[in-house]
Amino acid sequence: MSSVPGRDPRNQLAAGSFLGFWCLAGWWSLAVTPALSSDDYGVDPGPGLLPRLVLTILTVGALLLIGNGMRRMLSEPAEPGFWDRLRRGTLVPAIFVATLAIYVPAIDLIGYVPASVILTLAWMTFLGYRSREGGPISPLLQAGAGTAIGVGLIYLIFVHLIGVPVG
Amino acid sequence: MISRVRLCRRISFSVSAIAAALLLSACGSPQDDVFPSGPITLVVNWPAGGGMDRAGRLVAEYARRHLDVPIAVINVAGSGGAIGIRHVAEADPDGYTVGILGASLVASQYINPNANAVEDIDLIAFLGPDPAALQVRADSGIDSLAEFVTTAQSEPGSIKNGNDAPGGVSHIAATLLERTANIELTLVPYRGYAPTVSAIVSGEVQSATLPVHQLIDQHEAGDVKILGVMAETRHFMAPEVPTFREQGIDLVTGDWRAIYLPNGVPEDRRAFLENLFVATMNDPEFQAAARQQSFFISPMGAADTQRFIADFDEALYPVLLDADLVKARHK
Amino acid sequence: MIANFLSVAWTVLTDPYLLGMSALGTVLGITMGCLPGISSTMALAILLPVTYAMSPVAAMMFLMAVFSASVYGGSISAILINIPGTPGAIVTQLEGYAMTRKGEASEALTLSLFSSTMGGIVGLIILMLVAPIVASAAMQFRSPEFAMATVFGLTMLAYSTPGSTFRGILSGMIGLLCGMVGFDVVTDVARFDFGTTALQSGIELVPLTVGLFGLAEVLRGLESDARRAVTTPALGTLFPSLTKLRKLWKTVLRGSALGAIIGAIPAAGSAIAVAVSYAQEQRLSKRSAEFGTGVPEGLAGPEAANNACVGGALVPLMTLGIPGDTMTAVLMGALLIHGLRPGPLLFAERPDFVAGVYVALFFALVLTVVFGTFLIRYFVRLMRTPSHVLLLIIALLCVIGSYAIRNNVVDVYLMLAFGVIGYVMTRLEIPVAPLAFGLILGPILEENLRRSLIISDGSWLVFVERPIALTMLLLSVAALSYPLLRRFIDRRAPDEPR
Repeated sequence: MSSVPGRDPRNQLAAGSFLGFWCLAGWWSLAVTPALSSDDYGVDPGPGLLPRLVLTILTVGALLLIGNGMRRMLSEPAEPGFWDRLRRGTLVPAIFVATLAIYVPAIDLIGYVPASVILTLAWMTFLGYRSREGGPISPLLQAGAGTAIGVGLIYLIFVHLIGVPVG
Repeated sequence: MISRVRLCRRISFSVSAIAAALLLSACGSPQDDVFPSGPITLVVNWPAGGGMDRAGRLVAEYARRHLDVPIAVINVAGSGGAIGIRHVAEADPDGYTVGILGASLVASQYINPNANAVEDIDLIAFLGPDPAALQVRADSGIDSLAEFVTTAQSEPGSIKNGNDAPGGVSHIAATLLERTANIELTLVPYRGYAPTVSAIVSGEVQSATLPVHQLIDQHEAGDVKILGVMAETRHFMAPEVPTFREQGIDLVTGDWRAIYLPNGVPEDRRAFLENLFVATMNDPEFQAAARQQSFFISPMGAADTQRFIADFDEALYPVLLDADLVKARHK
Repeated sequence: MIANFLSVAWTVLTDPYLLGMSALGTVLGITMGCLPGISSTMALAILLPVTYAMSPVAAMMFLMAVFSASVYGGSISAILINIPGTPGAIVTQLEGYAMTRKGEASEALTLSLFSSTMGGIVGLIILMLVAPIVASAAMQFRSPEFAMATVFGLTMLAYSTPGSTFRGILSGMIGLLCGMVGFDVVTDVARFDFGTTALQSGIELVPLTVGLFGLAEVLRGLESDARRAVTTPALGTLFPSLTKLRKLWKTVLRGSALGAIIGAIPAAGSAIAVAVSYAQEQRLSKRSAEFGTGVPEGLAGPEAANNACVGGALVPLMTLGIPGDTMTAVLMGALLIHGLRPGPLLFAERPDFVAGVYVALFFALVLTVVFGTFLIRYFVRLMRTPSHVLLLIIALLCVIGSYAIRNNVVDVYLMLAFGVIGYVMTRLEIPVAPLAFGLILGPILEENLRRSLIISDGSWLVFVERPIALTMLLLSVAALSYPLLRRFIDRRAPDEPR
């Protein structure tokens, strides 16, 4: 309904591939679960009907996007720098997700509070130095205060009051 | 304006009072030689707000009165109750983790290859059964269990029965009914009891195999008739409804609730907890509160509970085998 | 009913204890509702034991306040940090969070407070006056209607979601796939579990939305050359100007009416109601092209609908004793504890008690405004925390919130995965909200679709033979084909199906 911004054909290619991954995973899982292709369920169309229907629509959509993108890439002059723009700035978020993936098992190993303190202190200090937003307060001090208040409050509310069993 | 300020103050006071109380109660001072010396965790294997959750929180509330330490209730839900049972089965067997579960334990050990079996845990107390019943819509013209059986026999599959998904308690009840009475129904699956109640009230199905209390109001109002209770004795909420046995069909089934521990809890602690929970369930105040929530209470100790569940297991296996639901632990 | 209502209301007004309980419930409801991972259902269940020792009336005052206020609380986190507290708030954040990013956080919060209160009151009035009629209409809804209602809700959202409808539908399809993960409800076959136990219990809504919206937003905020993720909003005026409210009153009324009626549909009510309201406002708005960039109508309508659903959801509970969703199921549990079994008998024989429930809801709504206006200042001030400190605290909240919902560590990893997925989707300009909707509505759709076929002996005609189902089916088809038809009429060379 809303307007579609003038999209780079390579965006269509990338979006189509993203959807394509879901299709591949889905079809593969369907193929290795024999119960989903059986139609031995009486009047019930069975657990395989909707997955097949949805995957078909998704596959057609992904192919349309990829096809459209390819066609336009051949016919239109390419604007430079698309892939760079798509990648720009993703390094820090990627590292952040990786540290979160380490943080979760670390909660079990060293306890909720130590793990959270290390995570937030390190990241807040790094981000504070990067943005130099803290004004007169030094980023380290600010990170310390932020960690103490943030982790303290979350621990108080979730672990003490609500009783979430962590660590 | 003044009153608002005062109100806010009073409220902030009560909030902090509650917070302080919760904080104090959460900090026990554990000593090693006395049991229990710290808070006990009661794991409910279904989400907050359901019947199992209410039962668990009620037990915890009254068991607390026999104890110096708090009991914290947590919900570990998922995979039809199997995740919460695994949580307890794999907890430290120090007696500080207990759980409450129901008939799903027995069914899911066959249906779900990843679920724990009855042997993986230590059942220590029985809360009570939650017997299934057979309900029909008043406008179906069926007035008795005998008529129900005749109708279902003369036109197999003509009666649509609302029940759980396969392996759920009301589905098991419906399947057992088909087998014992030698009839054929069309089993229509619903996700849980409330949607099944809706379905029979709206007329999408003609009958249901729900626990007694689910449709008691409609029964009293005359929209739905409870034809029989699948229990050994009549139900306190509908004493005028005869049991299936009284009507010549030998069928006793339904859900139940029991307290369990991980395997390997030291004998003295196990005995302490068994006594604690049996005493709680025999507490008249607890029984009154439970009755008000429509829980049928008939307490049993560890030995009787394990015997009961072994029998239940015995009766259930052929049903699941017949329904092609046994995917693990073939006998 | 009116006389009963007024007399009970007077009793409450003159009893500081009852009023205090309602106030306490309101404050706890708002705060718990805006914490990620604490759903309204959980807030109710956690606070339920507190009421064991109270009188039935006090317990009702307290719990209704928690229920109603937590729905508003869910919108606060949606508007401020892009984490929806209730399913309905997924639509709230489309415009609400966009307004926050423009620096209009306090305006968005105040607007949401006023429209949700209006919605709540309209819902309450409908509950009081015509509950039995709404209930009997809701009973016309059987499996085929549920199936078509979910199709309708999904199409409405895909149609109106910011970005292309075509991509919105595909995003919804991914949501449907996610909703199929785990044991199938009709046959108990495990699907899309990729051989692991981790996925067998399915994908919960909370980890998915917390990751898809909350964590993904944190990741965007971490981009090196990024604009600040959460701009410091000016406190601004707390009371929206009368002219602004006057412009929105029709929107709010439409949203309220939709919510109160559609809210009576069990399980899916609020999600469908907000989607329909959003699509409706977009269709009627002069600024429809700007939807997604912080348009007040797009916030006010769905917010009104979301809270009007509270009244709607109580209809089947009060008149028939059937809880339509998990929240009303906990409320029913609370009533049972105090020896009251909601249903046709209680409804007919205890008008004083029924009035008590309505009064409890009424005070909850009024007190939500009182505390809401008071708290908004502080919430907005919290957002002035330096953004890098705030981002880390939100990330911690995402982790513990997704764990708290069922104490399962798998949910935390799922949340992380959906954080990445949401981040990638935004970069690729694929709308995210339909995915979450697919997850909510997908299981309801499949279950009802297949059940309809079991009941109709396998005949697909069941969806066109029943008038309500047919109407919703036709409306969905029309909404989907409209962009396509327009393309043929425009005869412009399209670069992509829209």
